[in-house]
Amino acid sequence: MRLLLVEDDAQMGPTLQNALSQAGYAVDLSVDGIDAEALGDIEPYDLVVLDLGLPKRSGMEVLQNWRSRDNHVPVVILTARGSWEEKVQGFKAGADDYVAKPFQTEELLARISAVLKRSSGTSGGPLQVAGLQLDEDAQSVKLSDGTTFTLTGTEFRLLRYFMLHPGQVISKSRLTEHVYEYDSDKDSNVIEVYVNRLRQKVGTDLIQTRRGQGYIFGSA
Amino acid sequence: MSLKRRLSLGLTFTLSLLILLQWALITLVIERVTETQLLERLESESEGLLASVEINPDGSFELNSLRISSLYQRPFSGHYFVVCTEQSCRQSRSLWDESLNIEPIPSGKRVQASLIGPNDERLFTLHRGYYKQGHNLTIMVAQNISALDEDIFQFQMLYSLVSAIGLVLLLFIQWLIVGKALQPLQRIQKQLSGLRRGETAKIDAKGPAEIQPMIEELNRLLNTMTRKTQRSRAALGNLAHALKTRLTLLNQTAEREAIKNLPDIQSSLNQVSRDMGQIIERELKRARLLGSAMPGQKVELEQEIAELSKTLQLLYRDKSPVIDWEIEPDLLFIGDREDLLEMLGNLLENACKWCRKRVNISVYQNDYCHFVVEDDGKGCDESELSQLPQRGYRADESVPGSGLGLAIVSDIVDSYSGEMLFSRSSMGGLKIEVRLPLIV
Repeated sequence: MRLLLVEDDAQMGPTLQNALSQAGYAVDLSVDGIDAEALGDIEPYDLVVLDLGLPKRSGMEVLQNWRSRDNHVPVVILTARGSWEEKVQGFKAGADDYVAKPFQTEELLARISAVLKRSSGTSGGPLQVAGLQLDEDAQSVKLSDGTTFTLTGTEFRLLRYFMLHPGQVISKSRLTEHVYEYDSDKDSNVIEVYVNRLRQKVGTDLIQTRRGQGYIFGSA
Repeated sequence: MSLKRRLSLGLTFTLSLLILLQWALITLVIERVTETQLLERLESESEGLLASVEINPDGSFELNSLRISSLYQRPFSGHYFVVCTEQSCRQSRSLWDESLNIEPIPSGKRVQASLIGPNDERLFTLHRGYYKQGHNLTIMVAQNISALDEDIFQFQMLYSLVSAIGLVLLLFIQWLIVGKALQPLQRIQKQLSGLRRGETAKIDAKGPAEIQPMIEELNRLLNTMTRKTQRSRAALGNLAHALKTRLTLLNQTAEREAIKNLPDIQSSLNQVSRDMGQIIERELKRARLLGSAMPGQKVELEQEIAELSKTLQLLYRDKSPVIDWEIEPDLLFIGDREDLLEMLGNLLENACKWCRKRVNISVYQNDYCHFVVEDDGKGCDESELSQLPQRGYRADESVPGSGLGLAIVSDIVDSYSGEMLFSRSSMGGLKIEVRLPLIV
């Protein structure tokens, strides 16, 4: 899952980016409204964490601009004001959820995960697809026979993306886009290696290769 | 008493007095002038009669008819005389068979009187006493003044009518003048009440020179106050933003690996940050409250409540509460929009948090503006009802929340000098009724 984090605080931005990365997200950090708006339009993010008090262009304006251009990327608003007026405005502008500062990282992660599940049409609770159960806190997967495997960071990101988009043909480049950060080395061969490792853990049948198209998860 | 009323009353009084005095004076003068002229005429008649009296040596007397005006010859002509000596009296032919009473008066004296003559004529008489050729004479001359009286009466009537019409006309004109002169004040008054109801932000009307400085000063004050409020709201917002961002950082610091291994320290750090967060939230919200100190603004209740409900349904998506609202048509809340949203948001969130499925809000207006929020949850015990608005009081610790919501509502209600009542709803849950005084 690839996230855009828009936070102008020089200390909080990197710390939060770090925390989100540890939770298994590929996170790009943007520190002002104009930059964030452009990134959100260009890159295929799965979710944006948007602070409202931004330099150059307010978060509310950025969100409104995205929505007016039919960019429906899920947005979780972060704000310090916490007034009802702002909450109403935020939801009216098209936000998907709202987290008031000060928050604890856990809380933000829970909200992000809930919004992601909702936007992919999965119901709440732990992610369960095709007999697999993903523990997002422990970053581990439980098979239908009860065995549990811990996942490496990239494995976890891949599996979560697959589980949130079951039955869809997903190209390697799409996987790369959603699993890696903006400025990282995107070698699609690496994806093949990771998919193979994942297959060894969850079973080869669950992730099938469609030649020339990509992968499909859980269709069998 | 209004300025217009005061001016009108004063002007009406003085104008009426003036017209009345003038009417009385003219009436009096007319009467006096006629009487004087009449007297002068009767006097000369009397002198003429005296000249025509010829006294015989035996004391009897004759009137020289050549010297007597023909007016006294025609019967009941309205002009009469009686001449008496000590022994006998003669009266004018015009009296015919009637007679007039005459009292002898000493020479040199004169008496004027009114009496009723023949055919009920009203007579004005002049008696004079003379001394001629060794005899005392009394001559009375009388004239019928019925026609004259009639003329005077008619004149007085006409004059009264003209005066009355003039008075009414003058009063009407002065009423118009006063109204016109006070028109700018009325415009200002209208704008002032518009200001209070939040329809305008300042007074545009130009007042007369006496009042213009006051308007300018008022506008200046309003402007300063609005700017100050905006500035302090913005400053408070910035302060909240900065403090809360730092608190989030503190939270993140507490989540570091090194501290995770010291659960005591981590939990006390979390506790401190949570407490500080709440204090900031409550105190800054309280400081941002406008209350009824500033001129209000119109708030479109229906629209605001609809939007709040939509927001709450998104916030409580898992429960998806049904929020019904009933708002008296044409009801316009006047106050600060942000205050109102804060109040309703917290009330509705509280209801959504506790409801099973349904939340009701109704707004109506009589002497107060009433906001009633009810839910179908399990409600509260009697003993808990009184503790609800206290800061941090949470009736049920198992449901997440800060316990701040109702405390903030209570602050807002206080700042509008309203009241807040808790009771059990017929729907099963809690019923909160907020009464805010209307701004007139």
